[in-house]
Amino acid sequence: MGGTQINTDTNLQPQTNSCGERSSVVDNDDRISQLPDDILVDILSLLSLKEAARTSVLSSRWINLWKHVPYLDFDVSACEGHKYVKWVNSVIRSHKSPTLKKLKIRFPLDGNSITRWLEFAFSRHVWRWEFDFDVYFKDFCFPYELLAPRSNMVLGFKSLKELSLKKVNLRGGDIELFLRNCPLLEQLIVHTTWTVSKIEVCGPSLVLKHLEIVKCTGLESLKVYAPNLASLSVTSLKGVSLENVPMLVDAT
Amino acid sequence: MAAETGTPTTLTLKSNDDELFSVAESAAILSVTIRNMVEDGCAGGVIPLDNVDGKTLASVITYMNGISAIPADEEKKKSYRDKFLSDKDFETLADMVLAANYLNMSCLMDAVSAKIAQVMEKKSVGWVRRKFGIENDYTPEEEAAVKEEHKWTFEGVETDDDN
Repeated sequence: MGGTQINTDTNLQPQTNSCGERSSVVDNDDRISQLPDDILVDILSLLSLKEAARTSVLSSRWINLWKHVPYLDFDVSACEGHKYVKWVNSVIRSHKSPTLKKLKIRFPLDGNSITRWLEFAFSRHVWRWEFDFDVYFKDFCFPYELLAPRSNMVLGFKSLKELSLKKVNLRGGDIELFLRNCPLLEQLIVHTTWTVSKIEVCGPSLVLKHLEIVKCTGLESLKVYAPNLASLSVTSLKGVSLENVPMLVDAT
Repeated sequence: MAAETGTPTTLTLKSNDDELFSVAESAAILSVTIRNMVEDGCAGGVIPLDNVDGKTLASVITYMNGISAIPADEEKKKSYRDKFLSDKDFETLADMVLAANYLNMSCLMDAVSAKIAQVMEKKSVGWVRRKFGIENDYTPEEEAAVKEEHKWTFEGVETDDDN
């Protein structure tokens, strides 16, 4: 029956499930709980964060498994601002995976929380990082002190492969700072920002393969010198200069 | 090696319950574990696979043969995998994921994991427990505490089943 809110689950009386099967059709020796941790974590990685974390209620075997899932996608569908911050904070506090393959955060929030989350993300050597602020959030600027050479976060940036910044308030030079500090960056998406007039994606050792600069209305000049770039997507070709892009096969 | 002379090489795999299986090397090397043995030259005689029983190994070999017969077309491979797994019960899937893990076959491992995740998707805690026979070893107080701590996982969630 669709649309039912989950309530208590302690009632284990025999009953029919959604397929009309009797619940006696079960695997009584609990094979699933006997699978090794890493396989169970792989399986949980394929569920949404909420669903993965809900498995902690199944039994004590499951209580900590979801905390090792290396993907954190904080989708925002049913959450208000202060609750969202509380939610992200509580997950981050209990999260245990030493590396993070993906972190996605989308919501306009106070800068302090974001800075804390960034510190968390980069302390876990995040691979893929998406920020999508539903509303352009002009009061937040990226905490660049995290990229300072002596910052203990700098090493964390070295793992970043994909960076997506949507409706994030960027300053001139910010993109270049990321490119310098993230030597493994393969995909860069900058979406909907008004404040940057000039972007230079340049460097002989850039491994960047995909670049998307979309709806950046203040942009006057985009210079690209990227030997590994395979695809480029820009809203307008005005001010775009391409040099040394031998691998480029897809430009829109 | 025969691959260099153009004759297809056949490997002999032995399950942990002593069943022997012949399989084309080109199909068997989908398993990184087996491929490493072949590359190291230790695949000449019988290859013992101590963590896989005969029933599971037979199934894995069917998969190896089926998938390696498909040319490089990810769509067709995916539909083969879906069809291959469609009639497997959980018991078999669990054996298969363990075997795929041991044999280091990421494509099979990912497909089986996805299949198991699909079963859990949009289901309540009670349903998942019943479906997989998971014994709830929490005391009522402990369960209430775990639920309270993970209250956010129940908010705004709709499931396909009754509870």
